[in-house]
Amino acid sequence: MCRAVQLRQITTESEPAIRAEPGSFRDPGGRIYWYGERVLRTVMPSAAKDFEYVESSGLIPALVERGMLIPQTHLSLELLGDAAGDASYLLEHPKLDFISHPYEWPFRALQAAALLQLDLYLAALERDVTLSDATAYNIQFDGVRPVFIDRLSFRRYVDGQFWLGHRQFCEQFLNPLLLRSMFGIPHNAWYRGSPDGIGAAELSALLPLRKKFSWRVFTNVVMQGSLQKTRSSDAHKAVAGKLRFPKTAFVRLLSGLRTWIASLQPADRVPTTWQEYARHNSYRDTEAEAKRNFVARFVSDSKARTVWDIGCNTGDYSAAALRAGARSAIGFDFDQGALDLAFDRARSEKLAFTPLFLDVTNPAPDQGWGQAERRGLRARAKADAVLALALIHHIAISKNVPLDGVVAWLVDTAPRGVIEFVPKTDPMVVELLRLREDIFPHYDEQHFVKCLEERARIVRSETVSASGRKLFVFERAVT
Amino acid sequence: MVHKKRVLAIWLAVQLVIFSTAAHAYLDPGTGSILVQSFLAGLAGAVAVVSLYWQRVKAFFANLRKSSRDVQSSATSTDNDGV
Repeated sequence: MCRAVQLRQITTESEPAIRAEPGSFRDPGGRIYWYGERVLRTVMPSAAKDFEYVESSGLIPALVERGMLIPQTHLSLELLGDAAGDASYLLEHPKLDFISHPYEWPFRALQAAALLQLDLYLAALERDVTLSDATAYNIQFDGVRPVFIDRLSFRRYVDGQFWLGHRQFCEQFLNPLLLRSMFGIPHNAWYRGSPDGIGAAELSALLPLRKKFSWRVFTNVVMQGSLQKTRSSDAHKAVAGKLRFPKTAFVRLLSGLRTWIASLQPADRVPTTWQEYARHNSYRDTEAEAKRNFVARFVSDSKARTVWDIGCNTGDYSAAALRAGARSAIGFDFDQGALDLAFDRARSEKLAFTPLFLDVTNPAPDQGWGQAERRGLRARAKADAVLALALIHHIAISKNVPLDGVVAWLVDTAPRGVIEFVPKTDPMVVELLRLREDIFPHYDEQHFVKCLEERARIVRSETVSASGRKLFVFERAVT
Repeated sequence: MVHKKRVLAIWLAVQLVIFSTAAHAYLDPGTGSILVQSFLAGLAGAVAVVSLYWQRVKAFFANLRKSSRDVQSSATSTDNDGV
């Protein structure tokens, strides 16, 4: 049943280092290992029977073919040597360009991931396969398309089993989505502070009485939250007394959640500041066109394959980079409205573009167990190029970060890129300084160029607006 | 007879709820979630019982209508035969 595919070129002069992925430890059924830059997964004897059952069910190729599940290849255990321990199977998965965390996802991404989790489950149950968990960290994005990455979550389903991941699903998908769709509050800050998600009891405590009368809210949030606190002994009795959850009720619960989640919309009452930025910004269409052309030329000259677009707004320059030959673009912005638009745009235009939430002055840190379970943004920065258009004045002036620090951070992010300098005479900067004292005597092009030249080579520059905005291409040594 | 059937239906509903559940439970499912699912399972059982009875009630009236139609049509045909 398992096709042991021999590695094409295992032996090289120096064997690649094998190291266990620090974020993969919760399920003792297996573990992720890094073999150099390759991603391997062990299956331990405790999960081997379930693994074989799922392999024979035909589910895996069906899901891979539909793009819902990351592909897998069987390898010989010998490859891992002693590190394999008493593992029963070894798999290889393709390496992803970038791992994002649910607290970096905009609403639309979390919603798409939740729907994938439910669709996978419904497809799995048809073949008598269940999932051992429902963690959002098992889903990653290829552009805006969610892909499930944990093969080991699939286990044999026995009729009558409960949905063991129901609570986790609610905490990591449903409740964070409800926070935005009921209150207009983005999930990102809360989720980041609480990486296992938002508890039913906490969300329930916020709900006004009238919202508690909805059947779905009542069962999944209110009832679950209050029973979670008060009746643990009864739950223990119920499970120990071998209570049964019929498959029909299971399917109904999953499909009910699917319909509900698909209908959720952000409850923001007013458009966010940047949602209509494209229409209200301070430069004209010809200037925007000049910037797109500049970015396109940079990407085709540098042959950058992966691009980070910091302050991406709705993704104009990521789209230009992709058209010029980049393989994928990851956009970062702190404005939820712009991110929603960017996500919808990437979906409708089929762009390999993933918009993510980021406050540049406070990126995701290393956190979780041992501060190694969920890596911070810096540890995941492996882009070929960075774009920072119409960005630095927001950090240097709105957030008081010294210009030198802003340039250092951007140059650290990727070995080459495009940075736009926006002078004090630009209407946007005038606006930023309107209600505050100008405490930025060093914020000028000359100082910017000095900061950049201390760290990188300026390849070329071009003035792109009447107000004096200027784009710079930089390049530094690859570390 | 009716009483016996009712007892059987209730016994079936109870059986729906009591059965084994295997677990690869490295994850704590949470007491709230388990009790919510038990409640939904009980509800599914209750719905099954109610729908069983509802089918029977519908069948009873359908039969009633059918037999009254039969009586009517046979009466009509008798009249016709009588002409």
